[in-house]
Amino acid sequence: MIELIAARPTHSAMAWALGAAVMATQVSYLIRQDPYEMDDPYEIVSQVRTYSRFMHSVGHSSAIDSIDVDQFASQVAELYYSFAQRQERLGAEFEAAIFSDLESLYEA
Amino acid sequence: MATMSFDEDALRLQIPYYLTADPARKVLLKDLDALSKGATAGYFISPISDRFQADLLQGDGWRGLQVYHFASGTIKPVRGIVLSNSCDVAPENARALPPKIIFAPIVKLSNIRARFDAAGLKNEQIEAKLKSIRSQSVTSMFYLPAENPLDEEHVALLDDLHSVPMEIHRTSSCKLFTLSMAGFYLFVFKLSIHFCRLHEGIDRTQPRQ
Repeated sequence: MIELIAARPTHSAMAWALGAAVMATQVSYLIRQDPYEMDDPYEIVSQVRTYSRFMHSVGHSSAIDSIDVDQFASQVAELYYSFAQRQERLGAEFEAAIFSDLESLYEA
Repeated sequence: MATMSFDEDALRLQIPYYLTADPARKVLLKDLDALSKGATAGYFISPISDRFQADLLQGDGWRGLQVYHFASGTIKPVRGIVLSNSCDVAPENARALPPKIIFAPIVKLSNIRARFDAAGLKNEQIEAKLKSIRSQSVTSMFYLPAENPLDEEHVALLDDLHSVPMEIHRTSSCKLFTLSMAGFYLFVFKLSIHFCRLHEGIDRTQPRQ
């Protein structure tokens, strides 16, 4: 499993994206406001820089080239930021159409 | 057994594949960029080359996961995608309590389209919504394209989560697919956006009036 974890980090994936984004002060989160009452229920809000233990570790690792780490983190953060900006809700009518009889949609 | 923390030792175990193998890192970024912008090829590891077919990993698709139906008290086998962290459900990891696997059912996009039609939604609205789903822009869904091993498009419903005990899973489930590296990253992106919005718009510091 160690090899597997090395090849497919799991906890680290999200932390990597979020940590990198926080480090670069690029990350944004979506605010969910009053449901179904606004044309644009999500609002992108910029975050101030905060401490990240993960990125602190990355930044101080002597085994890994910090420039590469920073560059990679920055690129992942940029992708994450761009992706997060494009998110939208499904919408009340569409949700109702799906969840009115959810079980019958399941595939065995 | 590897533990999961973000100190330097753990980082050396988990990250070198990306940080030291520059070509692989570039491929990951390129693929992730493409998928995040709506590309439909490259979500899955090809079944022929999938060396994780016997493993249970986050983002896996499985057939035969069990959903408990509260209204009828019955259990129904479904297709689903695993949300549990790979390490949390790895059999090598000793634990005091038997693990459960958290998953979201995956359903055919064509059936969802049929629901939209049946609900009387306008065709142009439906087409626009399907386009958003396919480009992974709908927060509560993770789109899965019709690509081997899936015979048609599916979506995972991230607002419909269930869990099944590991011992039940072992005896009743079989694997459908393993996400590629980029597919897995995109899945984790989606989970982080959907479940980890820190700004909920609620001031918890205020005492009760």
